[in-house]
Amino acid sequence: MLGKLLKYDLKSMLKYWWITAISSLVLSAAGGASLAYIINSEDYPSALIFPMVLLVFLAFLGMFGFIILSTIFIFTRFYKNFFTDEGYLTFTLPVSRFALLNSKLISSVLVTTLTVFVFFVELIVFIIIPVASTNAWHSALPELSSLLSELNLTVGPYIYVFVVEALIAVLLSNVYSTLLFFFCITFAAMISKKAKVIIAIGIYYLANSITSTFSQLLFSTGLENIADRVMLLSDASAFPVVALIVLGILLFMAIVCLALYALEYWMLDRKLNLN
Amino acid sequence: MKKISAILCSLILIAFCFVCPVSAATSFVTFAEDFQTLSFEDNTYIACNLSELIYDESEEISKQYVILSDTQKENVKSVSITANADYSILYANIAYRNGSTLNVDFLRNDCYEKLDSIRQNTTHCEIDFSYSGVDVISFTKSSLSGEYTTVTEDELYWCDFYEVTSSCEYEFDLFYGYMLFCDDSYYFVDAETVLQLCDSSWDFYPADYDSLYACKISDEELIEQLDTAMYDSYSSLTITDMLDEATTKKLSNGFLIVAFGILPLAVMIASFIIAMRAKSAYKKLFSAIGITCAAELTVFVILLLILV
Repeated sequence: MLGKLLKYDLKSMLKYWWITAISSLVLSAAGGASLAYIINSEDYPSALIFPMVLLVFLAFLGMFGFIILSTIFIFTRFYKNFFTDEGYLTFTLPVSRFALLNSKLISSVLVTTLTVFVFFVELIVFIIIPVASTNAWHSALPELSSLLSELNLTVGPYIYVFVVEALIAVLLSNVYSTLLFFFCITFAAMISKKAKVIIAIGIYYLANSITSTFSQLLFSTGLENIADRVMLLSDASAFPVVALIVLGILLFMAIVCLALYALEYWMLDRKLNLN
Repeated sequence: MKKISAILCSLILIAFCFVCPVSAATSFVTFAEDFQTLSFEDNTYIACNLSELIYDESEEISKQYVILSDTQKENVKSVSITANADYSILYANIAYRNGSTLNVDFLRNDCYEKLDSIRQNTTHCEIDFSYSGVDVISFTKSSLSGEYTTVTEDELYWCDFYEVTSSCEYEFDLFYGYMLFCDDSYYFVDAETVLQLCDSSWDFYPADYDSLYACKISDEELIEQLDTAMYDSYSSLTITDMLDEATTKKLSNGFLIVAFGILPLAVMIASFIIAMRAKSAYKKLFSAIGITCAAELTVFVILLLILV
């Protein structure tokens, strides 16, 4: 049943998503070409500079607008499917609330990952076109490869561990932000009948500022202290210890995600009143 | 007649506007047509990046300071200039529009004499506290005197340090050295010592050294000025900034233990209790939370054993 739920959730979220993705990709390519024109404008007539600057601005607008629109598509689906009239039908389906929540979470994380991927492709396209038009391209590639080989020499095989840990961290932060959005929408639906969206946004900002203050306190001086201790270790033992520290942080993130998931499930299961 | 004089006046005004930047610009670097010679204006000191050229080895003079003839402009895309380690040679890299490049070296032997004469002629130095909410303080060069003494490793680790510069009649500040703000004393490390210790003045960081031979400031007036500046600087800081390093360290260590040790332990106990009492979905969910907490606590204990 989860497969079917996922199919319809993804279908709904991606209905307009791909149009915005292609539009912003085209805009980023046009913006990159315009930037290349501006950089080499000594060689070209200056009359076209203003439209080119406008195109670069539009490309930026397109790229960031795409991310905002994707977020709206994802959470509109969650809100409409659970908390509007559609919710009556959703909760009468012969599936557990676990499956409903899992489907929403998996599809949201998938679409967010796709969005981030497309955004990076856009960014690369936007940067590569102007760089390719100058000589900087020839010197940038060998520098990049020497930087990577130097990194490989310094860190050794632990580079793979760090890459895997970084990927898990990205995934967990994606899950965390999605669950935080879900929690805010559900909480707003629980306490209000009319201004659910505005209250959800307000709760999100409040929760976000609390968590960012908490993480700043934790990671500014706290990690500095740990770094001081790690510096005292030899090179051979420093990398496994750093990998272990990152693992600890990942597990901490996993606890927060699981706790948020449990809270969200409990609210959907026990506290939801669609009347 | 009025119209003609008005037009003439306008023309003079416009010409003045154009000539001013051009004449100002000619005091920078000028290349010969074949790029084999490079000239600086002799009578005045160059207002551009002379001091940076001396103290920052990777300094690049941007192409706007380089004067090219019209013929050169047609062929040249960009020019960048860098200096060698002792700043006696300038390396010009000329990129042509057709893709080829030309590297030319220029011996420069007049830098030090010019800088020395500027140094000798200035009487005042200053320290810029503006980023910490206090203004620039100015004092006489002679007040940077006192007994030379060794600054200990501990003092060097905890001290604040600020650049001592002198603004001269030209558009750059001369670097004189660093003022170290230790617990109850102020020490001055001169530019020569700084540049013997590191390649560039920007690389200087007192905590990197075990000891340092520096001049302990004894001039009462300067000490009073520095005391006031430090007091004002501290009063503009936030509560956390005002805590001493040891207290901040203790607080953050305590915070780490609470966040990564005590809190997961409490969550783990609560989760396992709920999991034992709950049914189906909740049982699985809270067991998962409890197991993750246990894993996190294991990592935390291992790290404690390794790092403490």
